[in-house]
Amino acid sequence: MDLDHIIDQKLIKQELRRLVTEDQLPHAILLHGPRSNGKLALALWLTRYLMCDQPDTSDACGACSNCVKVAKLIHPDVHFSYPIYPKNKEKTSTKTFLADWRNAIQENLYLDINDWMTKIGGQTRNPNISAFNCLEIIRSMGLKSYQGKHKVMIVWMAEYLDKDGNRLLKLIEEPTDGTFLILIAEEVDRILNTIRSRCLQIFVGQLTEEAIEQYLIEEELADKQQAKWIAQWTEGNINEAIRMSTQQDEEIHDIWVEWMRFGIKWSNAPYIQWVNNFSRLHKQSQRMFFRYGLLFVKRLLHHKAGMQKSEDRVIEVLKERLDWEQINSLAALCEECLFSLERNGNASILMTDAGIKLKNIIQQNKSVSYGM
Amino acid sequence: MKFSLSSSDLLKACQKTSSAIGNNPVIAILEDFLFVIESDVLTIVTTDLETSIVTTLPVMSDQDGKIAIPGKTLLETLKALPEQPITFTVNLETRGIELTSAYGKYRLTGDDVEDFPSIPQPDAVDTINLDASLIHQALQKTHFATSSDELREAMTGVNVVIDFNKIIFNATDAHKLVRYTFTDVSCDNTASFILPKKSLSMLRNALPAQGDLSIAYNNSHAFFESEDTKVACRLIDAKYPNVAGIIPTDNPYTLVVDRLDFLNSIKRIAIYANKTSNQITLTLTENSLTINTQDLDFSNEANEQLSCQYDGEPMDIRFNARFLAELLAVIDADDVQIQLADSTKAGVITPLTAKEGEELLMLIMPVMY
Repeated sequence: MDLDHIIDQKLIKQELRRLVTEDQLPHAILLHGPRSNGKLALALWLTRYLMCDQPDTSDACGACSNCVKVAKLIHPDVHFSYPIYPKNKEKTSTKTFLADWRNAIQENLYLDINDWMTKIGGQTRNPNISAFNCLEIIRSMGLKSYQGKHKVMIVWMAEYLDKDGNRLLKLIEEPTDGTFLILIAEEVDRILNTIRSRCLQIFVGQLTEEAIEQYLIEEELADKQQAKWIAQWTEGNINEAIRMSTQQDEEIHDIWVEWMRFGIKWSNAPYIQWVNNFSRLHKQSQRMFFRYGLLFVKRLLHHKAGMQKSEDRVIEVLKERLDWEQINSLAALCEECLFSLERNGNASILMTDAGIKLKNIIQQNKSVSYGM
Repeated sequence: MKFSLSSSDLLKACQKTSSAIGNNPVIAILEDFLFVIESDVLTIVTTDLETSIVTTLPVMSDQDGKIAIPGKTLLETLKALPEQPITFTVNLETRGIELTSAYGKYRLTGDDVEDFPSIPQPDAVDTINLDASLIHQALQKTHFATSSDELREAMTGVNVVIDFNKIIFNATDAHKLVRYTFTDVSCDNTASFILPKKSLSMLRNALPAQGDLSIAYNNSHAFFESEDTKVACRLIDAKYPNVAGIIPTDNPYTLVVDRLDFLNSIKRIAIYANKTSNQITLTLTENSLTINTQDLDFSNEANEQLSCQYDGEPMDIRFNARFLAELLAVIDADDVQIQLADSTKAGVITPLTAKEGEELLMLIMPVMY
């Protein structure tokens, strides 16, 4: 994992750096903001900066044994907690999934909760940080630090603490010297007020298109043109952007356009053929298809409202053809399909049904839709 | 790198350190023994990040170097080998290890030494020298009284207070308390730290029963060093309750009783006590002690009478039999003295005659009804 090249969150990095160098970093920090915008990367970057033997005023050295261990996620004073599901027994330890966690982060520093649950084989389970896991957090912070310096606990997706977070109040409120708790959350409203009020809340904003574009080019994930295109489509979600750039999404775009064509000009037999092909795609790609669809709809709305100019012919056509209500129904359809797919719906049945619904949406009589 | 030594010596050293190799550790390399060879001395290091054990033994080697060897494989191999000289040939670049015995060759792969956490070192120069047997005694007398309530972190360990010429070991779980002091030491300063319960048993395993021992500490670890073994225990990060404030000073009535008779009697009576409360009642009148219990659920009942010396107001006082038995079991003296005030205040148990240089004080809370 390369903490020297994390996605750009310059302003926040600068602020954290100032807090560290001026020795004003509070012991409890809550990083919150939209999905996959590099919060975890920031937390790890901050941890490395704290742990480094020879930090300068801008960053950790990246070479000392502490830095190396933080980057490998094996530092004895850096602890993690993350949502899991009960495996085999009710009181499942976060340690059960520690190896998966290290792998997942090494593979993708910007993963989201769905990626994580898929990784540990719990797509259909509810992620949770249980009361037992809270006790584990307290226990791991109960001893003095191993190397006598700081000890850091990173709680990823802290909204899954739910009410059990109450157990952590004492730890958050009165930690011993050198203890740092970094909570990371997407939906800050789901964290107990009592926890929020005890933390320094830092809002990590959505990534700009330029930042993503630059990152994709620097990491050689996409060429210039592709990077621009992906950055526009993914709207600040770096995880999605990386996935798109590695999954040949030109193809998904083409499939989507084909599907739209079926909506406009329906014919039975070719559609069944198309569904057969679609169901052969990888599950991830099928989901990508609808995520892409949602982004497409959003873009379509922007164009229709005149907020952006489009170079895309498909959007131009649909913009004229569909009214607001229809676009809305299209978005609902995508969401519904995505929901079913994430719960292991059968792709061919789902798509056959979705195709008919799509046809009805696009070809419906406008006066009827207004009358509804 | 090549080195050879006797298999049984190595086995002994590995067994001593292996208690710090846990199952399923948080970092994979903690399943390994770290072998460090420096001028014909082999240092074996293990750690579970809470307790670290380091031991040394002499070897014949051709060069200095480090390698991390998978613990389970090595230990099982050594156990299966009869006593004989064995040779390790290590390729430090590929981390390939070849073990040669009289029977044949065994090959395994080591891990990257860089991943092994550095073993903490004492930074304070103050050390306290004493005999290892004292530490064993202190731990044996205190470790059972620690709490297992994880929400009160401090009480899950043994508090060690170093106060110029004495060392005090405190342990309590809010029902009982043990304070063990020995006064035969010399030290220039004061300190207080809490050793976690888990480290205590490892400490007892790894340290020799007798011989010189030195204790050092810094703000995160306590270090115990004997001739060839060093143990570093990570401390509990919490503030220990003020023990001196809990111990009652004016308990006017004194009960003196033969320890073994008392203990055996309690053990018999406890069989009939209620299984959840373990409650027994001591009925004290002048020079007479009656122990009885009642379990209303099963209509069980038992009572025994013991001869004793008691000079106070007659009273009935209830205790948890299990706690009382645990406390009495670790006392060495023939007779014990219990100081009481009334049936709601804590009893203070001390041996009637204390050994030179040590002081033992125990406290037990009565059970309210």
